[in-house]
Amino acid sequence: MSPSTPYTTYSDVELVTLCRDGQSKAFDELVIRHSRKLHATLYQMTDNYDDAYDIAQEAFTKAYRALPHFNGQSAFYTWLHSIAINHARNFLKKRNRHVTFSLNDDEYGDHSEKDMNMADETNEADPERRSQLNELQLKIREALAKLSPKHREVVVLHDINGLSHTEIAGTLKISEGTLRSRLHYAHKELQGLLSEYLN
Amino acid sequence: MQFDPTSAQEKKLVELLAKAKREPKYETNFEANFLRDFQVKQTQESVKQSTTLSFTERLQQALNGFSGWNWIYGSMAVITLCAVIAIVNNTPEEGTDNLVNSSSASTEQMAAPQLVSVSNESVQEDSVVEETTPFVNEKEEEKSERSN
Repeated sequence: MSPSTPYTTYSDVELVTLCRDGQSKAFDELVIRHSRKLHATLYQMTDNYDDAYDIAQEAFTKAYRALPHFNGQSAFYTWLHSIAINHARNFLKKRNRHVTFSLNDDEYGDHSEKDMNMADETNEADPERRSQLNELQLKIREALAKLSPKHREVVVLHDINGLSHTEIAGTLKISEGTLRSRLHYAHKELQGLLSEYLN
Repeated sequence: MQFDPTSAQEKKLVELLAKAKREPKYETNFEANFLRDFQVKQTQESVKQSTTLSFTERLQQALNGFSGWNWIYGSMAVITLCAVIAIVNNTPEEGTDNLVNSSSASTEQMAAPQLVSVSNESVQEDSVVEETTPFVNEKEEEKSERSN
């Protein structure tokens, strides 16, 4: 690892090592590399752009502070992700509402405009299809809001954010068996709640 | 009890759930702005941290190595130190007593001469009068005797 090599060429593990050796600029590369992905995950949990941004900032700050204690057993992003998820959980508890799947966009103000960009952007020119998708999203989020926090969490991370079982188990510090069990029961419940769209 | 992804209904459910994903609109320089905000926050944090946290961290580091007998020795040292402090605080200090005595004495001395001087003067005047008068009388008596 020569000092002249740009940080972009290093792996996460190498950047962590460099940062531990006193090259704090190496952490900047980690921030650039993971900020968007982390924000996107947190956005699914909080349903608010600014809240997700603040939590992501806080997670990076905590990670930077705790870097000497990072043992490298999991990937850097998994570790960072678990810090962020824990912070988001506490944040949601404080907010004391089921904001994660809030049905009322006006309730939290400015994010409704930012949320207009849906996952399926191909239907932007088709207002009818877009309206149908909005309705469907509303129903799904309504159903998710009825799940217990533990079940909802795994569904969001697995089915919506697309994380692997290993990543989720590492993040939530549960076994993969527990994760599969939670997913199974959550899916069963969701099948009942969304039966009109599944049949 | 395992989730069976081959089940048609569950497959459909997973597809539905994927549609619930909503992506915020990101600016092109999102990462750069995020990093800038992070650096600002870092600077603020380091200023805040400077005294209190560093002290607690040092204390924690010092206590991390403690175990078993170290705790006993440590607590005994603290108790001894407290006892010494208590004894030192309760013992009257000679220096301060002298200071108190000297100061009280000086105030007495300052007050005393005024009283004494007044009384001395009066006493002395009286005594002069009393003492001189008989002496004068004796001289006058001698003169009269001589003249006689």
